[in-house]
Amino acid sequence: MSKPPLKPRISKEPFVGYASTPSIDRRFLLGFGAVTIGLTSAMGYMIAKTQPGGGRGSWDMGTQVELAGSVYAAPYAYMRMLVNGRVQTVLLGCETKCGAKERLDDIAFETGGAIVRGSLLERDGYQMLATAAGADWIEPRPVEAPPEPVIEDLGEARLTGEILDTKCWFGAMRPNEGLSHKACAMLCIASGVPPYFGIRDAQGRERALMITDPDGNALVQPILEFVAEPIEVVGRIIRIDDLFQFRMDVGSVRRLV
Amino acid sequence: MSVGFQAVQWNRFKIIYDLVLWIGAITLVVVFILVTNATQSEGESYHPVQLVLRAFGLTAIVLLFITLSIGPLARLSDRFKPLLYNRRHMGVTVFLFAFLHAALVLVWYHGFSETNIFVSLLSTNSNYGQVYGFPFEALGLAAFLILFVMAATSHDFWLDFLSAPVWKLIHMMVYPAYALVVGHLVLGALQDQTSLFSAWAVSGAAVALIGLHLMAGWKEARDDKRADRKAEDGWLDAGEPCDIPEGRAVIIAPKGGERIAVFRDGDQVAALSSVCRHQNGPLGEGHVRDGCVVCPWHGWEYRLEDGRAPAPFTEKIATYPVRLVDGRVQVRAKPLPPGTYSEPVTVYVEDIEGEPA
Ligand code: HEM
Ligand code: FES
Repeated sequence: MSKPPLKPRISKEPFVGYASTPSIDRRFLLGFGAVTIGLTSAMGYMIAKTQPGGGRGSWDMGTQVELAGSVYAAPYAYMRMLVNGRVQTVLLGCETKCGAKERLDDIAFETGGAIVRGSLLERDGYQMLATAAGADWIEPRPVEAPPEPVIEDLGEARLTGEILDTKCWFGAMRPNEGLSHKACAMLCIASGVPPYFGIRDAQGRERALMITDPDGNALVQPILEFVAEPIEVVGRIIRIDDLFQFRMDVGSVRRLV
Repeated sequence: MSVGFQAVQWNRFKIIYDLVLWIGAITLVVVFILVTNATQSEGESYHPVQLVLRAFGLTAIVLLFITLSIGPLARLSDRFKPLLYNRRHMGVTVFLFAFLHAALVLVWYHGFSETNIFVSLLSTNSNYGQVYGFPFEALGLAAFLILFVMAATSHDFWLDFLSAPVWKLIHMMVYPAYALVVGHLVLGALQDQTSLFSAWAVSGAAVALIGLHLMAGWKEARDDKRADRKAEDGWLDAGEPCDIPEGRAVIIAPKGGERIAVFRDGDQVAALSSVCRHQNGPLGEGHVRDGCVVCPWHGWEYRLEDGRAPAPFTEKIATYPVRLVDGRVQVRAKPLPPGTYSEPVTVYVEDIEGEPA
């Protein structure tokens, strides 16, 4: 056979990574990169804009304060003091994920006047003092004590809300609610941070009540699994001056989701 | 290639690729942080640590999504092919952002207590039996571990050490990893959103990704169908020599067999396996240079006549006997053992339509 040899067809050079890309492809790829960056930024913008707020809490870590009042070790560590003639309850926490109850137990402190040092967390009038790390965080001494607590039984109630860890909710973390925060809140409460029950009152304002068992004692282990989930629960509301206690019947907890 | 691994070969393309990648990633982090700060009402700002850890998580999944989209895009259009090359840098970047995200979560949400942070991560929330309130962190952790193994084995040393199929299997785990991250979001962050935007974004992205893969698979099946040749007496028809572009291949895909690339280099035609020994790249989409087939993905080379990488490399791929019958190229369906010499056929054609002289 005497056929002429095949002449090459013109073929476009295929891409090889390290060979230089043809300029038309270079422009296409740069355009693709620019469009992708534009789209991802727009999505980041929308996700940032639509996410819920961080909550109004704050923690002024840099400012050490000294509070004088009556200190209690039960059900959780807290103190009552007089501010402009009115009683103000301040929870006692510490600088990490723990409560001050253990610290009071360590020095066998139960109830009495003292000066306490630390930094203040605050959210809508709810306060916690993160007690200072040093040994001089508390100085038991007679102080101008607030009057004996006025205890008022407000009766039984079925409340809908979420179990919060007070330290984060008062301002140590923002955001501090919901499932994203569940594990952290469980760890805080298990480590000694007092649990509160967060609800919305009739006006839609956020309120938080101290969680205790029906006898007014600390309640921790049985409620842990429900932390940060929407629940409905029956309990008795007790008012101690500005502090509301929710004496929960754990058996009545009903998950709402 | 297995002799003397080079650490990283930099070139202009890679540098620009990485530059665009990092500009994109950092832009996303910055936009998310600035917009969150600007749109939260007075006194409701996010804590900086939580803001940053969210931004890193978001960047990780966005990059993961893009990494996974490149595969089908490149199969749908050749113009995206260059993005495949160097894709592993993107994979490693996903890992880096996931690592920063997870590290901050661990320190911030699980640190500062007497419980060990890792113990806390796995056991503080142990409601594994429940959907709402499920410890979604565990899904993130599983995805993270997959990304870690992938990033750790991304270098060619591991490809060689583990063998291509094992390596490929490990890297296919990126799909379960993506599914785990979606679960991580659906059972975690999305539950706390008051707006549906994020839920739409996550589900839209998942649907887009599945759609792209289906489209690419469908196109490939169609191409394979076209490329399917019935064997007659064990020989497959590969068409006329002039249908094979110079320096390139036609791919034939016998049912049940590996794809075969039938290359033409001038007047020589030879057939090789179309599967690159490196990362199973599509050799049949490569071209011939100095008598060697060059893989389009990362440039590995194989000699046309025996499927062996030129010295000093030692990789071998299967070759297929070819013959010319009635002016048509035929390829034997049964491959020769990798690296076996097989005489190319010399081809002639009578007319070459539409060719410049
Ligand atoms: C050990 C591994 C991981 C852990 C412990 C973890 C933990 C968390 C936590 C606690 C959140 C909620 C954060 C918050 O809203 O404040 C979160 C959110 C998130 N995670 Fe992870 N994660 C891990 C791995 C991953 C991986 C591998 C990815 C993606 C590739 C990822 C992507 C995300 C995204 C996108 C969010 C939502 C952020 C937002 O709210 O905008 N995570 N993760
Ligand atoms: S797959 Fe990497 S060079 Fe072929």
